Amino acid sequence: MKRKCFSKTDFFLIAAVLLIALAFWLPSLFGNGDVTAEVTVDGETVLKLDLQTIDAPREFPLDNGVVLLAEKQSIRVLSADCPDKLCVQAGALSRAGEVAVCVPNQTVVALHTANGQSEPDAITY
Amino acid sequence: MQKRIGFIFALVTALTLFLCGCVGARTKTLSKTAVAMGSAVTVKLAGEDETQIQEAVDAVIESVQTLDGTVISKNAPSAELYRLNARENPEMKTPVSDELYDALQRTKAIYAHSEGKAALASGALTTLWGIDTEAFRVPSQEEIEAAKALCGDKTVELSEKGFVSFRKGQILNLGSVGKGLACDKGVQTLKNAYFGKGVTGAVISVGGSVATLGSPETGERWTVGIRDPYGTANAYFATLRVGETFLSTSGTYEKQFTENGKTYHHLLDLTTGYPAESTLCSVTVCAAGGLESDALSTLCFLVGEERAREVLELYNAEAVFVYTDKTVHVTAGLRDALTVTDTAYRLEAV
Amino acid sequence: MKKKTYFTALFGMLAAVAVTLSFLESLLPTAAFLPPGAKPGLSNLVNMFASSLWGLFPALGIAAIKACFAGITRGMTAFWMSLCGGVLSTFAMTLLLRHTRRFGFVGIGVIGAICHNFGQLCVAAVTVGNRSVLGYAPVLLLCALAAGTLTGLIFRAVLPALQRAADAFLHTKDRKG
Repeated sequence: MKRKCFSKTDFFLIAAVLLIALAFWLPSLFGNGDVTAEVTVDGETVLKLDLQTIDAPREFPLDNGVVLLAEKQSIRVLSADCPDKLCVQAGALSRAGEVAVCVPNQTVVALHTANGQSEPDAITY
Repeated sequence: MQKRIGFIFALVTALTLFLCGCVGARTKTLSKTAVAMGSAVTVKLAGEDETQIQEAVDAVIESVQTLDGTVISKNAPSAELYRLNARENPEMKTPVSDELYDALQRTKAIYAHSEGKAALASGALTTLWGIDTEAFRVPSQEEIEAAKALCGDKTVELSEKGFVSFRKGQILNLGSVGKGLACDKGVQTLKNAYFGKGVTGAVISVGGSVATLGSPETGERWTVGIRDPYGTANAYFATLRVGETFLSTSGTYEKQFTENGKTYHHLLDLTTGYPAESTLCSVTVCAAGGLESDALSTLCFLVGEERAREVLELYNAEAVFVYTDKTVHVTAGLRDALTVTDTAYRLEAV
Repeated sequence: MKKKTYFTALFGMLAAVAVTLSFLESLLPTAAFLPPGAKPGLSNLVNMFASSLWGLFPALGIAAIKACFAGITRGMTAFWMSLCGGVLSTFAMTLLLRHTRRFGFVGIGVIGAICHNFGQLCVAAVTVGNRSVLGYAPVLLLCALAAGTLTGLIFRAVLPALQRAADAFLHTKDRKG
């Protein structure tokens, strides 16, 4: 039996992959309310921004050479000193769930929904 | 053929699990709420072994119950503090356990910065207002004057060797720090037997005082909401992202009652004998100990923001001040950790 | 030609092709609608060929050489990402190529690409110490689908030619010097 170029199993595989990708995507399509941007360097949160509260474009230079530009409802990596600039190419993030990552600088910019989605671990009263 | 495919799938699954493991998705979280010290005690633990987490949760809750029943309760005859207050002659120096002595001493030291507005010996007034038993009433002016004279720590003597004495009629009261002390106790219980040995993170909440230990399943920091003073019991207006710390809040919405159209809250100013008049409606303090965060939140509320900031600095503590007009002030160390989630509140730079 | 000489020579050539392909790919600009860093992953072709010709270990060797090249030109993180992705996808593709006929070439290409991306993503998540990197997962999954289909089709197209060339190469006479 010779191997086919495209078998029935392949068809199911591709369908399954599409479904999984869709399942991952759906939540972020709905969660487009108030978003906060969280910037972590080496796992430590260095900056948290409520993107609704930013009226004028503002730059945030980080200690590791990464420069962020926050605008109303969006944030992008303006420049970084890494070789591949993938984080800059990621462009502007505006939806919850979107991320821009600079692996060489161990920097992650991630958007979360501000309310609802993540319940606090405890409430102090 | 079938066998081979089975083998392939097993291998792929094993690889996938291995790689998921390296991203750290294997911890479990367990949460349990019980009633102890007259309030809700919630313990949330993250760890690898489920039976051990279960055991640790129960151990924490039990340690809180024991602490209240045998040491710090002012109302339970089984507690050491009750017996200390109930002595015929309180002016006679009496030895107490290290645990109680330590709590009394630390509380007294913090309240010494309160300009007389808070004290260890505050029981005469709190009992009069019915705050500890929640049988609230507005006392008469004469009653208040008489009780006021019995409050204050000048006559409370805590001598070096663990001996305690105070004036007859005075009542030592750990009510304002009990929940924080319980958090301390819970953390101690975890550190002694469980933390680092299967338990990787914990949040203990005793009636609104919160202790965090280690890190959560999902990252490095815990998220703790600050109660919305004008919302329902579970509503919060802001969140704090914190590492290992202790948090307490003093607010006018807790234990309040209305009589003849006037609303009274439980934060008594010992210099007037009445609930403190303030434009603050809550203060949340983040400190290195549970007793400290509890005592400091009460103190900050009573003395006001300006003086509070000086005292906070002494204890390396941070605070969030919430005013009745919904403006929010925060000390420098918490500015980045704070996210105001309710748009009705305005964060103001100071 | 002696088997051993043949293997060494062909292995060297394949490794060179793999490195060249990944280098050429890195010169490609990223199209605006694609996520940053999305590449067709053509060098996976070489791994596929090596594993179908010789099996797991030579194919892993190619993955390792590719990783070293990435390490030299783009640093340690690139090394680990390339290694983890390459090793994982080589494992998966070898299994599918040599142990089942159920999957077609497109399926094998897709699984190889998914494993490659997954391996890289894991390294990225560990390096930056933050799991929100996994937010890339759905986009990467779709990209792997496209890239994998492409490699699968190309592989199907060039396999007979490669096979013939390799055979011819094996049967060339050694020159006695």
